[in-house]
Amino acid sequence: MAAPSPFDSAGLQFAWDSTSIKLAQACLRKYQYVMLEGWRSRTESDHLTFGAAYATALEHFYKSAENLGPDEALREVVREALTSTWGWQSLHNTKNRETLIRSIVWYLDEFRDDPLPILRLADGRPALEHTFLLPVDDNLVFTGHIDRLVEYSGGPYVMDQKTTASTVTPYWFEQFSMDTQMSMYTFAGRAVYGTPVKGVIIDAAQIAVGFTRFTRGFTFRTDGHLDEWYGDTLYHISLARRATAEQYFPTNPSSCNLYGGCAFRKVCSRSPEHRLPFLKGDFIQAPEHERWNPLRTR
Amino acid sequence: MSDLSLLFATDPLELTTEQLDQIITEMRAARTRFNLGASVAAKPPRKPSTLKPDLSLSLKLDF
Repeated sequence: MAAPSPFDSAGLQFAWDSTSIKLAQACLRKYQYVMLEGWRSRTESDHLTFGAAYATALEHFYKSAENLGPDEALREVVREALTSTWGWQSLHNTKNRETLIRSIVWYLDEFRDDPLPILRLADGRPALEHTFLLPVDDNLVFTGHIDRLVEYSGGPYVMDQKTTASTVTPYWFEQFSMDTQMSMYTFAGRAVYGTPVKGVIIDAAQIAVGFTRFTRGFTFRTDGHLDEWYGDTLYHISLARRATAEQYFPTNPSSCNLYGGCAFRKVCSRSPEHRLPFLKGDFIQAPEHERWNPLRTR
Repeated sequence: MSDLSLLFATDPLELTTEQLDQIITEMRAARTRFNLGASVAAKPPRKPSTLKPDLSLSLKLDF
């Protein structure tokens, strides 16, 4: 079944997940290209395929292991990951089907003896796989997906996985101290589960040609952090909605060179009348039902 | 084509339990090899034994 549209009858986005919020915060032109027009780069597609299959496998493992035990659950998620990526021809230098399966098996072996207990809800169910739709101010909805809520040192945390080609250092984890996705997880975790979530535990996987290396890190949020994040986020959303209503999407040149350079930098640097051929050359315009949609459930 | 490549090229819905276990075993073996390599690389270098005085050599030199 097709997911409902995250846009209202006036074409303004009302359902917001962390991905679309980050696009609007980074650059309204980028928001236009990705969210409104559905452009995506070819290698980004490999990154998304890998990340989605990896996260799904780990999430499903913990759910299946409750009933099937770890060995059968592992077989099940390996088959599922191979099936969901069947026919995928990756152009990425390290992210492909073999490194995907390697990373799943290595992750589950790495943390086999170091499980973080999954929090139990009041009705006894484990806090796993929760897609949230959280009504907030201005008739907006925050959406997202929490894989696991775990307990660490007496406090509840959202558990998340990240994959990267970089070496993971304490400095690498600092990028999450102001990260919208982590703030959203903490904000929603508190609202959805009614428990004082302290932050997010991030299991980072460095994916290299010959190995996958794991490092665990933390990012914390106080009430003050979340109040400020909430106000700032509603402000950024209002700017994106106004830009959509006015059909004016200014670039944010300060974002062009972040994280190795925005994928659209080559396009935006062309004179406006020459941009479309460059977009069509380096990017794929996904059909509407395949575009990023915060209301699409996993 | 290696056994592992053949398994990855097989329709996943047709993989038997034994074949899935073979993939998992191969991945675990690769992890063991990687960890072994990493632990060898992390060992401090051995002290060179040539720092010890070689008495027999010095005796020879006295002549």
